[in-house]
Amino acid sequence: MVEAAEFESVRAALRQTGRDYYLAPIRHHSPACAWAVRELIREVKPKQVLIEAPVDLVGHIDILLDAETRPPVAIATIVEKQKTARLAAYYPFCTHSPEYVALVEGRKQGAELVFIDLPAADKAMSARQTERPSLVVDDEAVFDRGDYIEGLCRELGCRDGFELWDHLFESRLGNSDWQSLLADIGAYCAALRHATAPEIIESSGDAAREAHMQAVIAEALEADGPVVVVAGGFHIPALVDAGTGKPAKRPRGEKAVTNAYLIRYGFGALDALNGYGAGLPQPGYYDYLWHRANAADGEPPWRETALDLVSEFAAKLRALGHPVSVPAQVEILRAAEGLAAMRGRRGAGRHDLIDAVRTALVKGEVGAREIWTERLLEFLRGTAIGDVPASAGSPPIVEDARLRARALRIDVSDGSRRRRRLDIRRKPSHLEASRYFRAMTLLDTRFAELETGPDFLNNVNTSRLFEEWSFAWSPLAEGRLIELAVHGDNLPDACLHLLESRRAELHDAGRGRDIVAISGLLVEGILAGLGIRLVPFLDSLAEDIQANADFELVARTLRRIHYIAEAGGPLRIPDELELVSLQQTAYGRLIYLCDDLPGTPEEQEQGRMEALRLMVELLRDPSSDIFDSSLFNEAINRVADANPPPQLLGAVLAICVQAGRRDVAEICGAIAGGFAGTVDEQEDRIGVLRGMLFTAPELLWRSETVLQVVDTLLTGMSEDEFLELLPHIRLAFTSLNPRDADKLAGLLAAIHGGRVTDFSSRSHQLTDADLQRGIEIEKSLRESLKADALETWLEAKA
Amino acid sequence: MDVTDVQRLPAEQRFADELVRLRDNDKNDRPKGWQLSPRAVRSFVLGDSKLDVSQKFFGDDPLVDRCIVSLMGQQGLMLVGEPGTAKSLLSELLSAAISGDSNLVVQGSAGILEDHLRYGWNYALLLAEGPSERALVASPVLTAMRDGKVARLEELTRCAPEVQDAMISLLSEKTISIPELGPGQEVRATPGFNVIGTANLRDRGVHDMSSALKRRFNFETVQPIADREFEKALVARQVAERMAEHPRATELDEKVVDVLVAVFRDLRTGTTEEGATVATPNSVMSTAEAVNVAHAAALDAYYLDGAKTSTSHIARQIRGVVFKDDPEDARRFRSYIDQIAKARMKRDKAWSEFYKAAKKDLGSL
Repeated sequence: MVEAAEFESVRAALRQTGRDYYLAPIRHHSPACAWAVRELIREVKPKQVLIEAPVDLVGHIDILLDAETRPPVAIATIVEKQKTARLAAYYPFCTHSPEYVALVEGRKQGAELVFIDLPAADKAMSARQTERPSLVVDDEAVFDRGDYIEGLCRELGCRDGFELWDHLFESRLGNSDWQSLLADIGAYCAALRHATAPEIIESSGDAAREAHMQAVIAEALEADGPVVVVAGGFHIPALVDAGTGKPAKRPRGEKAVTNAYLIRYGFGALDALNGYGAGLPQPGYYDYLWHRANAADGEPPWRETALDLVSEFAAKLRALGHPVSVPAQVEILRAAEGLAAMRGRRGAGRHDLIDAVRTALVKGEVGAREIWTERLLEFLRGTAIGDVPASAGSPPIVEDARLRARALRIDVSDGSRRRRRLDIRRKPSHLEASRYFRAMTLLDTRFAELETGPDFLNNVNTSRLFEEWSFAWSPLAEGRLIELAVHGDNLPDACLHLLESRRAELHDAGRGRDIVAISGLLVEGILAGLGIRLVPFLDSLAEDIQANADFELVARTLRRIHYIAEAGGPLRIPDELELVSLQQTAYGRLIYLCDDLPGTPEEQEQGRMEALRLMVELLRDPSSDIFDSSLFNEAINRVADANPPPQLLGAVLAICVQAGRRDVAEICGAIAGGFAGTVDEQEDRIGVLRGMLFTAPELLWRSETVLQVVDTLLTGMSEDEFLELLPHIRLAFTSLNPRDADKLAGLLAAIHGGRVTDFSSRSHQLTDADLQRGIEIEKSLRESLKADALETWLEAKA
Repeated sequence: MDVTDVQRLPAEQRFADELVRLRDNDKNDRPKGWQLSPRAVRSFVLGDSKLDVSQKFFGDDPLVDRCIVSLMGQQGLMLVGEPGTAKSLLSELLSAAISGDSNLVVQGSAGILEDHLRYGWNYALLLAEGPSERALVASPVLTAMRDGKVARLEELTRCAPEVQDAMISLLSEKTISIPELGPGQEVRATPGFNVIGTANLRDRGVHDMSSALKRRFNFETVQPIADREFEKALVARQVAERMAEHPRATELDEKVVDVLVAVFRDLRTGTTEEGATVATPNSVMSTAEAVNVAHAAALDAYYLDGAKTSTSHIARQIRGVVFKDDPEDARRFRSYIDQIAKARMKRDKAWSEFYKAAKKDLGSL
């Protein structure tokens, strides 16, 4: 087969003794590769070690190898182009990373250390990072996907590319035959490359990077041998012939300034990136293997390693209050070794351990994500955080905050306190500045303080046109930003993380159902200018709404979201941020919850009445055409049939009548029925009426029949009954606004004859004598109270 | 009796030729008492194209690995999960491959007594001869112990707690004593003996498993099928098999299966393909239930309507078959119809018919 021959040729070309040229194909963070690379450098004693990393980071080698540097650490690169800065990538190094081992061993052998990839700013370096910036350069996706990997997995009974890699290569860590390990990886990667379309290699920027690497290698080969190249396996087939053709010219990288910082990195952060194809997951596990192999100076003792891992895992769980019995530990180990034997492995690998824990510890039915496995993965992930010398500089988020401030002409060059007045509604640049201040405030940096301005969260002074801020850059702000560096490389990312963690805090505090508070976080996010980045937050908010069972809260949240969706000014959302589906979710949930209304407990009645009124107002709003009002009306119609408390009955009947689903006669009947019926409390007699007045008072004057019925009932009462009910009647009619009250008075006057003023003016005719008498009565009352030592009553009232 | 007339043959007979091929080519070590090596057992269940062995269980290869390794140890294997996730099939395949015999089954029910797990007597012989080997009627578990085979306990949680308790001592001592035959008379399990249980932890009307019993089993949860297309194909195939008795009924339209599987998946997972969240019902939304709905719909269409099965038949059956008695579930289904199905009406005729019929069935339009 042509292909097989091609792969074999790569295998043979890894050691070109004639040219003193040696290649080590690697996978990032693979201890097996690291071991082989170290052996290769020890054997060859190269004059130059060439490593796949951006050429302009070469200045960081010394600090990487500084005595104070302790991996895991990462070089974070920030690229500034046309006044904008963005974090291009992280280049993480663990103790067991082949690149790091190559640096350490190369330096020991006195070799020159060279980085050979394109400059970090080159666009070929970010071609694969369209969706999410700020990731490790991703050139390892090929290890996990594709037909070749899937075919091999099927053949060897592995579930994915990770298990396949461990099965084929990681199991050979520390093996004395490291040469054939490298050769096999070379052949494997040649096959992977063969299965990748040339267009993809071109468009992903790999071709440009390899051209650069070839040129640098050619220069190195001319200069002084032996030369060792340590590069991602995928690139190796393109590098074996470097320096043999016509002398390639080193392509010039793009003009851009790169700032790079060596920062502390952690296994947690490293593992979080694994989904994007950057090396092997659960770095803690591989680190452990690496150390065991080093201690044994050869293959790690697989059985003892597994045993130690299991007992350490059990000890950790016991400390957390989840003890694992000794028989269960024995069963984990037995299952792990059984699985490894059945799968044809030297010893229990990562997947065998994961499966074994699942087998031995799970008792009962579980989902795909299961707590024991999660605990093991967390254990295998490790918690180590590296250390960098003090001279390493500051992390990206600090730079980001400074650059943004500079772009907005916010002076952060020194620590003095300044003031700024922002015209947030008319000047876009001022709005941007306001967002910056809000973001910094959200992040709790104590950088800026709002002195006056609108408060959108509590709906106070929202029509104000100006904001006044005072601000000052301080070490405190910088310290807080460094603290936040792990959560993002720029302000928006960190803000987003903060919103998410606040939401999580609400959940933890048992306030997960307080969706009004959670939607308040959304308001804060919009004010901080997060815009389109809020999409994931919207999703989690949708989940919270969907899980909420409180009619009132859902209605209030819906109103708030609708308000945001319609808002202009600082709260205006970008066009790409779509709130319609979130509103639909809330609306759908509300309709679902309508069926709870009939069983409303007394203490929630008022809240739900208000929620109903909110909904009626919302659906009447012209901007609410995104909601299918027929669903609401239909649900309310169901409620009316399900015997709700009187007040709610009045409210829902009124909505039904307004929507044309029920006849006016029905509500009249209900009002009359309430009056005539037996009740526990007097006020319940006018419950239906009160409900109607609350949600749709206009029925009273739109429909003569309703007015007639109410009038007849009230006038038909005896004086005593009327007086007893009067306070409740007054309360019910407070939901009318003054204009409506006047209108109603006019209608009533027309029915009973006469003019409105005939009724109203009479009660206000007081003479001076009346006033005098009143003052006297009050005086004597005060004295009488004072005599009884009850003057505090008066104070309390005042 | 002609064998082909039997409704269903046990796995070791259905796949006899595959087992022979696997055995002949098996170069790996066999655990004591096993008919095949663990790797060959895996091939039997998950397929091996080189030996022309078909894949019989889909969706979770590592689960099969774990099951096999569990059976090599001291622990029993307990398969749990929603109804209709092929737990029993997996148990049958494993015992057929390991012991060459999948017939040592105890079917759990409220009527099971301890005797069904240990041994009973042929009373005529017992009265005539007194207690003797000949008069003893061994349970499938006793037979499995004696012969070093795998015993299967279906629906263990349907057995009364005291019967489940009897399992504890069987699994820890791995012996059954038979005092009637004389002092010290007992059957000790020979190598190869183990137990595969299946249980349903969700249904109402089942007994809880004690933690002592749980400790003696390794649990594996068999998940519903994750792959949508595969689930569709499976539903279509199973309905076709069931409808084979009604040869003149037409096959299910792909659109119909599509809507049915979409509805079941949405309600099972709580998330629609568009990413909207929906309330998940308490009722089991398994693939097997989807097949039941489709089957009922096809019968309805063919015999009562005389028409091709459409999504409106599905809509009519879904409530009766799935949401039997829980008013909360009916409410959840209504909100699904109102919010998800309604929005999909624009998509095509199948959805629009489904929505209209479901709405009508729910009693308000």
